[in-house]
Amino acid sequence: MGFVDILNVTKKFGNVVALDNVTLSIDRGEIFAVLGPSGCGKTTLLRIIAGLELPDSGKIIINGVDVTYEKPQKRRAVMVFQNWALWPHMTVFENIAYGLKIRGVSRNEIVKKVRWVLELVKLEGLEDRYPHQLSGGQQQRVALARALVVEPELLLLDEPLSNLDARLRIEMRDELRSLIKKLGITAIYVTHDQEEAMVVADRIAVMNRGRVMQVGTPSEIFFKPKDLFVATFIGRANVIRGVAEKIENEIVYAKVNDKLIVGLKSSEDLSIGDSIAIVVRPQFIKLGCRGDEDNIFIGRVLSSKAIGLLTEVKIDTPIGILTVAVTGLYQKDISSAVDICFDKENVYIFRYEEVSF
Amino acid sequence: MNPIGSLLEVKNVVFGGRNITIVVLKGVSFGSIINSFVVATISTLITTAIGIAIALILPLYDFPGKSILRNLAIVPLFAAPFASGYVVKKFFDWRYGLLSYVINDVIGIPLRIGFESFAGVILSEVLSLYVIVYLNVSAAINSIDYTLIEQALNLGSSFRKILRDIIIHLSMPGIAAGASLTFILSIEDIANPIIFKEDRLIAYEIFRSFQDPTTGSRSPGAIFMTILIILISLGVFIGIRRYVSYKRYAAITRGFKPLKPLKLSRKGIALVYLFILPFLLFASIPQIGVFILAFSTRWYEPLPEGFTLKNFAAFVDDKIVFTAIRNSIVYSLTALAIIAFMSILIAYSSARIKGSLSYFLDTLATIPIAVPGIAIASGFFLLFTSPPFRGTLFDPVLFSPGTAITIAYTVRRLPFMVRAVYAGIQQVAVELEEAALNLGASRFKAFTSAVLPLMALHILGGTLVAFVYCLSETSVGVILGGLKGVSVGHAAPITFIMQDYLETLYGTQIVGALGAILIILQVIATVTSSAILRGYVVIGVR
Repeated sequence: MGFVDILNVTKKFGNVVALDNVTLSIDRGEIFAVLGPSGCGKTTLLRIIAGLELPDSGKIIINGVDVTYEKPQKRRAVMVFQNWALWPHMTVFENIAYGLKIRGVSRNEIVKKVRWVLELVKLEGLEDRYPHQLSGGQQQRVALARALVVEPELLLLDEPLSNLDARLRIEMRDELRSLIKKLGITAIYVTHDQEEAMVVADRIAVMNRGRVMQVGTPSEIFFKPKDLFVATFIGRANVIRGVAEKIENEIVYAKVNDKLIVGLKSSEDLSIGDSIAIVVRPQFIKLGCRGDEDNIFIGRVLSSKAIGLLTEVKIDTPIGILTVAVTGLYQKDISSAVDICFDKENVYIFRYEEVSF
Repeated sequence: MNPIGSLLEVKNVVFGGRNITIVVLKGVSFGSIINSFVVATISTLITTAIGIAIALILPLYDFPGKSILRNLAIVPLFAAPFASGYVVKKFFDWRYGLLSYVINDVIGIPLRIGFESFAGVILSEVLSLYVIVYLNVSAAINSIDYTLIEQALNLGSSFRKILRDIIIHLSMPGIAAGASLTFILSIEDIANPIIFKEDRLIAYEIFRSFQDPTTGSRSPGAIFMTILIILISLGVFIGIRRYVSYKRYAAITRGFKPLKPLKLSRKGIALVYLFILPFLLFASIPQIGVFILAFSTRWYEPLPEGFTLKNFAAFVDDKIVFTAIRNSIVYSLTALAIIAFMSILIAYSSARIKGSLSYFLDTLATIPIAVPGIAIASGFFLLFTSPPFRGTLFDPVLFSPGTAITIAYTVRRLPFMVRAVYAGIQQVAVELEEAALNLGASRFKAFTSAVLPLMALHILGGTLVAFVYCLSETSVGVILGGLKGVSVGHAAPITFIMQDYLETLYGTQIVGALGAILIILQVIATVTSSAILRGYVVIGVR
C-alpha cells in the first residue's frame, strides 16, 4: 500500500469516459508524474484526488484514510493550478497567508511562515506586490509558495510550468524538483510534456484515453515501453509496419518489403504471421556501419536539417523512409548512398494497432 | 374584416387664414389585437433595418467624426417616460408641430405634415427602439474574431463578400435578439398610445381597464388581453431563444483578435453624413426636446416660450411631485436590495452548481424579460386583491400600491441583474475559488473572500443601472400607482405622476423636468457602470 492509493477510479462526463478504471499507488516522498496527451484524463484524476470532482466509482486513499467523498477543504492535498489561480485583489503576502489564516494560525506565526516560504522560493521583498506586478516565473513561485506554506501532506501540480516560456520552464523544472525533494513532500505532477516529466519525476504514469498505459521510472518508460502508444508518445520514433516472420524467445524476426528486421518482442501475445509495428528511435540508428551490426541497410540521403546540437537526417531505405538523429553537423550530399544499422536491443516490436494521441 | 379610418389623409384646408395642403399619416384599425400586431411588426421591421444599417457602419468603419456619431447613436437609450413621446408628438403635430411650422410658416411652403394615431405610435417607437437593435447587432459584430475576417481576406474575398458571407451570418443572433426585444417592448408599450391617444391597442385597453380598478381590471376582456399579451411575448421570446441557440457559433479559434475598422471611402463618408447623421440627429429630438420642455415656461405653440427653473423647483414645492419622488426612491431602493441579494444567489448557483434546480432558478429569474410590465402589474393586481392577500399590506387598493409596485420592480429588473452578476462570476476563473477551497476555506468563505471582491464592481454596475430603470419603470407605475388615488401623502411613483400631469397647463413642463432628471440619472448610471466595469481588469485569470 502506498502513501496515495488510487483504486479503480472511473469518471464519465456524459458519454465521454475521462477515467477508465484507473489504479495507481504513489509512495511517500515520491514525485509521481502523470503524463499524457490533452484530454487523456490526467487533470480529471488530479481534481478527483483534490476533491474538486467526485469519481463515479473507485476510491482515493491518502495516508491510509479513504478520502473519496471527503470535502476538498478537509483533505491535506494542496494543488498548484495550471493558471496558478492567484487572487488578483490580494498581495503576494495575502495570497500566501490565505491558507494559514483559514487554519487559524496566529499573526506572528503567519508572518514567520510566509517569510520562510518566500525565502524558499526566492521571492523575498516582493510580499507587497500584486500578482499583475510580477513576471510569469514569479507568479508561478507565488502559487507554489501558497501551496507549500501550509505544509501539505500531498502536493498536486497541474501543469504548473505550461504557462512559462521554454527557457524559464527548463530552469523552473530543476528548481521545482530540488525544492520538493528538500521538503520531502509527496507530489503528483500532471504534465503533457514528456521531457518535463522525465526531469522532475521519480516515476511516471503514462495515460491515454482515460487509461493508464504504463507506470515506471523515466528510463523504464523510455527504454522499455510496454505498448506502441507509449513507445511513440515518449520520445521520437520511426514506426515501420511489417509481419512477424519468426519468433525465438524474446527476439522477433520481422519481414518488411522482403527485408528482415530483428528486434525485441515487446507485445506479450505476438505470434507468427501477425501484423506488427517496428519502432526504432532516431538516436539509435547509426549512419556508417562496420558490417557486424544487426539490421544493416543501404539508403540514400533525402534531406538533412540541423536542430541545435543534433542534425535530423531523412534516409530513404528499402524498409521505408527513416529519420536519423546525428550528433553535430551532418555533411553528406543529398542523394548520396549511406549505410544504416541499428541494434536489435533498440528495436521494439509490437502487435500493430491504430494509435491516436 | 373592414378596416376603420384611413392610412393617409391628404386634404386642402384653410389654416391660419391660408389655403394649405395637409398630409397626415395615421393608419387603419382592424381591432385592438390585430392593431397591436401590426404596429409592433411594422415598428420592428423599420427599427431592425435602421439598427442593422447603423451597426454595420459604426463598428466596421473608421471615418472623421465617428465617435460623435457613436455617442449620438445611443442617445435614445436614455428615455424619459411620457416626456420623450410628448416631444415627438409636439414635433410632428400638423397644427402646432415644429416641423410643419418650419415648412409652412418659416419657409412658406403651403404644406403641413403630421403623424397621428398608429403612425405616431410607430414613429415614436422607431425613434426610441432602434438603439436596441443597434446595440445587440454591434455587440455581435464586435464579438467576431478578426482573424476570421483576415482569413477570408487572405483567401481573396472582397470586403463586401465578407460582409455578406461572414459578418451578417455571425451577427444573426444579435439581430434576432434585438428584433425580438423590440417587438416585445413595442407590443407592451403603454406610454406612446397614451400620448397619441390611440386606445385601439391591447396595452391601452388593459390600462383603461384600470381606470375603474374595482370592476374593470377584473373584467374577462382585460384578463384575456393580459393573457394574450403574455402569450405573444413569451412565444416570440422562446422562439427567438431557440433560433439564437441554434445559430450560436462556437468560437473555435484560440485567443481573440478584436475588429480592426476599415477606412471608409469618400463616397461612404458622404453617405454617412447624408443619411446616418441626419437620422441620428432626428432620433435625438425627443431627448433634446425634453430638456427644452424642462426649462421652458410653456410649450404649446410650435416654439417653446420663456426660460425658467421653476419646473425643477416643483420637485420640492409641489407636494404631490415631492411625494412621488420619495415613493419612487423608496420602492426602487427596496427592490434593489432584494434584487442584489437574489441575483447573487441565483447567478452563483447557476454558474457553479450545475443541476436541474439551478437551471430552473435561472429560467424562472429570466422569464420576466419576456413578460410585459402591464401583464406583471395586472397579475399582481389580481393576485393581491384576492384572498389570502386581500386587505393585507400587499393589497394595492385597500392598503397601498407600494408593496405591489416594489415586488413588480423586483421581478422586472431581476433578470437583467442576474445577467450582470452572472457575467461577473464568469469573469472570475473557477480555479480562484477552487484554490481557496483547496486551501481549506468553506464554500461561503471561498465565495466571500475569493469571488465576491472580484465581482463587486459588476454588482455595483448592475445595481446602479437597475436603480435608475426602476425609477423610470412606466407600465407598473401607471397601472398600479394610482389605485389609492392621488392626494397628499399618496403612494404613486414618479411615472404615474408624469402620466397624470401630462398635457395639463403647468404639469407638462414638470413632466419635462422629471424626464430631464431621469435622463441625466440614466446617463450617469450607464457611463459610471460601463467605466468601472471596463476599467477593472482581472489579472492572471482567463
